[in-house]
Amino acid sequence: MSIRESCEAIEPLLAPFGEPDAAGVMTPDDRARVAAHLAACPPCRAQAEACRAAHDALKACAAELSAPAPAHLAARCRAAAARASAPRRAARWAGWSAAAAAAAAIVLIVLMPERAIATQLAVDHMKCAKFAAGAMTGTPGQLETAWLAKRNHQVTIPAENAADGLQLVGVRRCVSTEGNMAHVMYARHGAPISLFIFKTPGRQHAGNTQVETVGHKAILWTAGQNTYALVGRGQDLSGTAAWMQTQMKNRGR
Amino acid sequence: MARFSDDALTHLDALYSTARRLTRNPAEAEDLVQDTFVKAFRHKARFTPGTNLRAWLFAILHNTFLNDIRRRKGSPVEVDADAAERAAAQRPAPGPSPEQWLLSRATAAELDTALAALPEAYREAVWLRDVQELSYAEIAQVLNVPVGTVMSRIARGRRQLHDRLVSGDGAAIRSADPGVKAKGT
Repeated sequence: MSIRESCEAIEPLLAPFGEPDAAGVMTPDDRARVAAHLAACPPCRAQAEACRAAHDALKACAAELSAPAPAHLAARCRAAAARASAPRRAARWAGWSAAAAAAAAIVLIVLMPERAIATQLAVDHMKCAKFAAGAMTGTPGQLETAWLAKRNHQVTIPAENAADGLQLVGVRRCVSTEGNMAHVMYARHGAPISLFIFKTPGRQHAGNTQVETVGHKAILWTAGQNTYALVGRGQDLSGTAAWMQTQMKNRGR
Repeated sequence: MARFSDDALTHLDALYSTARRLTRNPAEAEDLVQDTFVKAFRHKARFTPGTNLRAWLFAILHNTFLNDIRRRKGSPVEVDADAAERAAAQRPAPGPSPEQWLLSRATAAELDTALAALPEAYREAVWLRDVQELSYAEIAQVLNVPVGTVMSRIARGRRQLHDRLVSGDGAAIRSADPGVKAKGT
């Protein structure tokens, strides 16, 4: 066996060799083999020392390197898991695959009457507003680029409008459609409002379709392949929707 | 369901900090952890109680992350552990002892930067071993590679981390290893 081959054979063992608690990975024979090789091979000895030093440094700082989960994430995971359990039971009962159930969730919202869509979105608006801290943030252009890259979905995200007290909070996936709907979060005069964007190829909402449901107002319109639905509690959103549509037209969307 | 949920959530911090390391973005890390939990719940019948829940959750996290980046159109992230292997071909020069001393004084911020600059295949293995303290067998299960490959990646990853820290240049080697990312097999 050449020296080079010997070094290559030894290299993987240098990781557990420098750890006091790597029992079960190295046999005593392995350890003796490595020690003998290191005694005769300065480059491998240097690598073993580097390996051990890096291991020690990382272990010493492990707690600082680990970011604790945000406080809301446990509740968010529990809620998502609970939602995931229900469709699975339904899908099994119907003899569908999980993929068919996911596709059905999208088809359903696409084909729903406007009132039913508005009610579903009002519920999503109330449910998801508390997850704003987990939303992706940035300028409208950055968010559009990120959404296209991440979800392969071209959307237009209207900007802020100080004259209307409108601030952009961020965008997140709406889990009620298996994450296939963009939930753009805004604050208007401090109150949360939502712009939902989902693909509805071939469907046109007649102009600005306004719906009132469960104490919320929703305005739906179509642009390109998407339906846009602006949802908020109690507020008159017609001026905000008109401003958003003008902005989208000016951008050629 | 409540019991499984409680057990799974004991690993939330470890999963989240690993997701942060993989995605490099807090919002995406939260999405990744949520997706991991949803998948775990959907497939919990496949999990045998009493076996290693932590390694099972980490494996779901790892595979979900890889599936996400493969699905993204135009993603800059490519799967290429071979490049990582090539990057490791150059052997290091023996380091003088002051360098070891320097490394022992490394701050968490310096380690964080050096870790971020590692090829992803090495970064994940080193992270799971040295920070999350998974065993070699658990890491092999999570990454779906042989234990020997895990050991190689950790040895090389630690060496590169060391070299970056003692040279004080976390970016230099990163730019020399374009496209070196995780391998899912």
